Amino acid sequence: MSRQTINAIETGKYDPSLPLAFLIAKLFKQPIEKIFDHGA
Amino acid sequence: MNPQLRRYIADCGPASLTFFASVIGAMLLAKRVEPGLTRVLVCLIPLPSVLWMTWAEISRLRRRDELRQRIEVEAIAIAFAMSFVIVVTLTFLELGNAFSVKVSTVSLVMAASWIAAQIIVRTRFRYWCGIFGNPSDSK
Repeated sequence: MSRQTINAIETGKYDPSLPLAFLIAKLFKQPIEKIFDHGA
Repeated sequence: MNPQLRRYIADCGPASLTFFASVIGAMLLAKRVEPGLTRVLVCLIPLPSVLWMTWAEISRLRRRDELRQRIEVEAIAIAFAMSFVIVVTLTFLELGNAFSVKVSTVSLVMAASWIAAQIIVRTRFRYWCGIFGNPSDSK
């Protein structure tokens, strides 16, 4: 994953796909809903 | 050197160099060959390098992450629409005998449309989010 993609996800410019979101959640050992909040 | 540019050169540089070298070589050689089948074959020399370049670009696209793939695919879609509109307009003008257009113009239109689309999509993802809507919202 590129730095541009990480930055776009962090700033809310891009919503990752479900597989990528699950991968990020697994990486941080957190439930997916704790990392990605639709209303945030 | 920029790491992205370095990677692009590593992925597509040899194919692009071969393409430009074969185009220049074929054009120079075609002028010295008598018209006929041999000249046609000489003019087609760059074709394998075009296929190599296409394969290099597609395999590069498939190795990129999902956001970059999305940016590239969006740029290709916009470039197709832009070049289609321009080429169709030129075709109608030619049919109406307004002026004559060379076939090589189409290649230039396609290349220029692709560059313009890349700039538009990259700028949109980098700066315009929030002003013209988040690109992710259109999913």
